[in-house]
Amino acid sequence: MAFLMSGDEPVPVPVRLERLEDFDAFYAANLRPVVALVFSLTGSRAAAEDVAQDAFAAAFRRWATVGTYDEPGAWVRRVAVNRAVSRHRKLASEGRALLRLAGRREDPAALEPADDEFWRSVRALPTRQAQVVALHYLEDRSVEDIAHLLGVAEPTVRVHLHRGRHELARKLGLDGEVGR
Amino acid sequence: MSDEQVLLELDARGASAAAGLRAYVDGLDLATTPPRRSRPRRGLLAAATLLVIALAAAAVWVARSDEGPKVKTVDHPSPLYLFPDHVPDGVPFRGSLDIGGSAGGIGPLGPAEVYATRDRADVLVTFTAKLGSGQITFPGGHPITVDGRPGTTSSAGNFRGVAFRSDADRVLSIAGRGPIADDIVHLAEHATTRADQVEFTDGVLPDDLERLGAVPLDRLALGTFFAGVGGLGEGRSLTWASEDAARSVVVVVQEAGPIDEQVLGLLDREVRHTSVAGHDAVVSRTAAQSNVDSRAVAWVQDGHLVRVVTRGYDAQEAVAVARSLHEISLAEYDRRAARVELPPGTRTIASGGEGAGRWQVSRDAGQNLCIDRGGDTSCDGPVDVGFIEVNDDARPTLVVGTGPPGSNVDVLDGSRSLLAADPLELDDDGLVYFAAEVPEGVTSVDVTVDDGQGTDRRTVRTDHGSISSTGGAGATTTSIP
Repeated sequence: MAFLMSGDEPVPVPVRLERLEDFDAFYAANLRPVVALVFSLTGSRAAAEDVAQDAFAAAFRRWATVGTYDEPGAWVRRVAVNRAVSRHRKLASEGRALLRLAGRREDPAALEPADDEFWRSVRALPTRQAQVVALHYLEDRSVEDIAHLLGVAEPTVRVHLHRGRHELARKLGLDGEVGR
Repeated sequence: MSDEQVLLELDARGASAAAGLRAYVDGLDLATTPPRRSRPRRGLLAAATLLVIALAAAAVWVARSDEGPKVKTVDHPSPLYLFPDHVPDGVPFRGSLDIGGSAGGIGPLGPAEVYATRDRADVLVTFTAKLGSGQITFPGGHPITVDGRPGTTSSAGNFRGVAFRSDADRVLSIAGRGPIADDIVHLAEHATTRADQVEFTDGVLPDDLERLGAVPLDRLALGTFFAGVGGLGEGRSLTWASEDAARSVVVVVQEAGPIDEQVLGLLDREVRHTSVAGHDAVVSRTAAQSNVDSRAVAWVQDGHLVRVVTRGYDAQEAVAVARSLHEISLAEYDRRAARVELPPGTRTIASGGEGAGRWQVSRDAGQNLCIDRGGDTSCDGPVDVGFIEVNDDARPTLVVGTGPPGSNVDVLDGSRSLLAADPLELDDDGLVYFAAEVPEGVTSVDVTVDDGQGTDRRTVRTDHGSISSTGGAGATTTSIP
């Protein structure tokens, strides 16, 4: 089976019953990494926050089950990554977050130009490549981890990572001398 | 530079960019309270296709009493189906959405309480927001303290506002127009929060100030919407948007509440009035937030609040769309709403359903399999031989899959009736695509994919919420949470 989804929310396998983790602690530990992951894929703070909140809300709804998984953080990341995919969703999230953010607080300093360029280039990759590359660089995840998280085969991840890195190097102008 | 050197340099850039992004996110003031309420789902979640959506319907209003707020339901008007004759070129139709009927969470923003004098010379709006910790800033605002609590005061249009931190993670905001605006700081000093509402010490509010009611905040700022509010009424919306989302047109029709007409555009700037189909309409511009600058035209018609919200267009264009709206039948509305313009290269696999239950399965140019339910699109890919079960509230509602080239596919319900009769083999990838809606009451669905070399059979149990599979490579058994 190449993929399995339950609506937006992936069905993680395998399932192993363990003691329920505390959702609050889970949220506190994973919120910022998930926001960063979605930001890397959308480039929008509003979308990142909103998609992350959606993903955690989904986890909370199913915490009795999700909390028993080996790595509930992988589950919530997969939900977030799936939801970050749709351009429409991103736009809706931005609109949804407007009032939430309106007059709220000062943004910290924006990303450094070089970092911003890097993530922009990641976002310009095909969707799955971008997801794989983001997980690779941002979370330093192994191919096996990424495959499990995204619910795809390891060879598929290797292919996406290989192609994604080379395309990223090309977009960033790092391969200018290759082949010359 | 060798290929290896290029990748080493790329990895160094990636490590730096990752550190930079983590530092950026570490500096964000994020919500510290975990989401405890359901986010918008199904009908409401489907709203996520829209650029801007108002999910808060005004079918309720809050009546104040000593016991606290009570919710009173207003009689539902007859549904109003509007469709524009004119939409600017270059913004394809992205879909429609039925709003309402969900018990979604209320999100971080409470409803706005609106007070006014009989002649509307004085208007007072209060609301609270759970925004977590961190510094409060308003564009152009000035820092103040309210009884020692940090806050800010600012002016927008005819309104003067005060916002201050009423407790650890909640911000209380009061905005006034007219003579009462001069007393806004004094009022703030005598304001407290009770649940999501703002209350004042007895005798502080002028006697001639009447409480009009409570409305979702987006009714006050027409071009700004938020979806984290439980939709308690009925409504529908239509969205047109360019690929880059720089331009969009959204038409939202929702049941109107008792005070909707009185509060139209109350917090918007550049508000002016015009006439749309004989109705007094408000044309407003919502304050730019980041790169969003919306124009809105809104009016109340036949018990409904009608809003045309544009992005990337001037007010004249928004009014032109508004004036081109005309009422059509439900059947005609459904017919037009089904004409979603798919991106180039997209192939439709199957579609069905009606109203909020509309669904469509397609494969896009990027080899992603996309499932649209009620306007909420989810894509995954690249397409490979496999199987997707689409759940709605833990009940399988769609089974979608892809078989090897030349496969015969049968999707049968428990009584052996065929659910998906016409799988589609796409010539460019050779895969056989299928999709079937699972009718209510069906307790199991059997999916059989036979590619001539083997048979992959899967059973979806709608009562147990599980899939069992036999035969075929990659057969998997799992549970549906």
